[in-house]
Amino acid sequence: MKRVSITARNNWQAAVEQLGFGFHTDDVPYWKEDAYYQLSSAEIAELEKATKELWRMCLIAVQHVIDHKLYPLFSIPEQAIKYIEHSWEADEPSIYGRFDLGYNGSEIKLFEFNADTPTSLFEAGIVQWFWLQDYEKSADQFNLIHEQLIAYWKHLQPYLHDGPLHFACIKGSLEDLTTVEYLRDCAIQAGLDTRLIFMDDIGWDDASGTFVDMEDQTIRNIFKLYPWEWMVEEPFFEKLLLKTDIRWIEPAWKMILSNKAILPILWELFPESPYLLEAYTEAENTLTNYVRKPILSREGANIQIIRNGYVEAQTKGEYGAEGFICQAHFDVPKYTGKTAVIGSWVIGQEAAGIGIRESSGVITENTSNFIPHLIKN
Amino acid sequence: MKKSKYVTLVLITSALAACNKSEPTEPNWDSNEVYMRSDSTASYTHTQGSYLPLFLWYYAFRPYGMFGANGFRHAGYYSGALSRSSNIGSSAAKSKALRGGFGGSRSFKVGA
Repeated sequence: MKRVSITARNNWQAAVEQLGFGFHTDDVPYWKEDAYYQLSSAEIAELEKATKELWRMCLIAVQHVIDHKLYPLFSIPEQAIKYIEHSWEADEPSIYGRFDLGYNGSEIKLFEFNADTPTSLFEAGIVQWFWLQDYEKSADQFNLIHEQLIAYWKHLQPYLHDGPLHFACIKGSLEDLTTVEYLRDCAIQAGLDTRLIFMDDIGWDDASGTFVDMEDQTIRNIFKLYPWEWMVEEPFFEKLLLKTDIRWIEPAWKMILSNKAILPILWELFPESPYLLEAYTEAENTLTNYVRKPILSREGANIQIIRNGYVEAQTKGEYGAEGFICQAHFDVPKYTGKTAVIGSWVIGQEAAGIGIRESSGVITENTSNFIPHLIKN
Repeated sequence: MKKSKYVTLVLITSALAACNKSEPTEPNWDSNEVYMRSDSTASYTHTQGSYLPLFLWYYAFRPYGMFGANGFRHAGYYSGALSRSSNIGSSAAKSKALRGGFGGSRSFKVGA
């Protein structure tokens, strides 16, 4: 894997906006195409293998957590447990997830799994695909995201209830809206009837005992880009418990995998895995060089890098009340002063592609940049 | 090949990207005139098309209602671009559904 500096396309902003990519720049560019990452076919094969294996281990870990009632480690509230177990036993389907991986040229290690509400899907599946068409059309890229999203929505169609599939996110975030609209776009191409609704517009009709959309139509299937750990604390969760025949995608059992408390569980179950870093709950930690992470946090917030008892780097945020885990430090190489994290997508049950984000610091935050990649030997 | 053979979008267009553009500081008085209302029982408001926020496509009509003992009760739709008379009309309560029970935890982006 190497980073190659190039000249960005003339007027690249217009090119990506033409695709519907409106959040390419905040104060500074988020999407950057003055460089790309080049990986070999063998490296891609290793990433694909790691992703499949991590997904297999994650499913075993969910069963382990449920079997041993390990919910307190995850700070999962009592009222959510029965619903999580119901969703797992009913084999409620998942459409996607993103493993964030470190790669040092020989080893691939899992940093965390964004299992419930991952974004950067549109950038990975669409924007970098079209970038490659312009930059070197004949070159390859590990990017079957678009094809597999459409294929998996088709696959899920028989498992959905009658009626449309609703898609929900919060108002006011173009990034979230773009992610949801992209998923909906793929569902439409798969032949599904879809609707968009914002989370706070979801209604509850007491008379019929159903969730309804803005036209008072019953919601029976819904993809939500909204974390389960927030939903379980909100007023409508008690209504949700009354209505267990709705397909929520991602399903409630993803609440276990999106929580960083899964990292010590994975380490306990698979200590021989080449893809895992040593990890412990904070109470059981014996590491001296490690990364301290809140079990519930987003966008790299409230993370500390500890070396020999001293805080080497940290990020701010509002998370941490639910507890922390400690994960062994893993050094990844710097590419032109940048640290790269590989987001490896699972669509359905398959490894589907990657997106690479890089940062100037050692912690990947919401200020990191998305850089396209290509495959070349 | 490890990339999608072809990619087509049927829903997302450049109009979505335009949601991130800031509003013009001055209205364009040469634009087409637009008359809008959010309730069929209300009178129309005369406004200027291009002075409307560019994110109108997704955000123009928001639910409105009131908070009571049982939370937020939805009563109809509202647009900040319209006058009160064009928003409310005579339909005091158009829906029986209670809304706002999800989505209140945070106001910023969700994605991880």
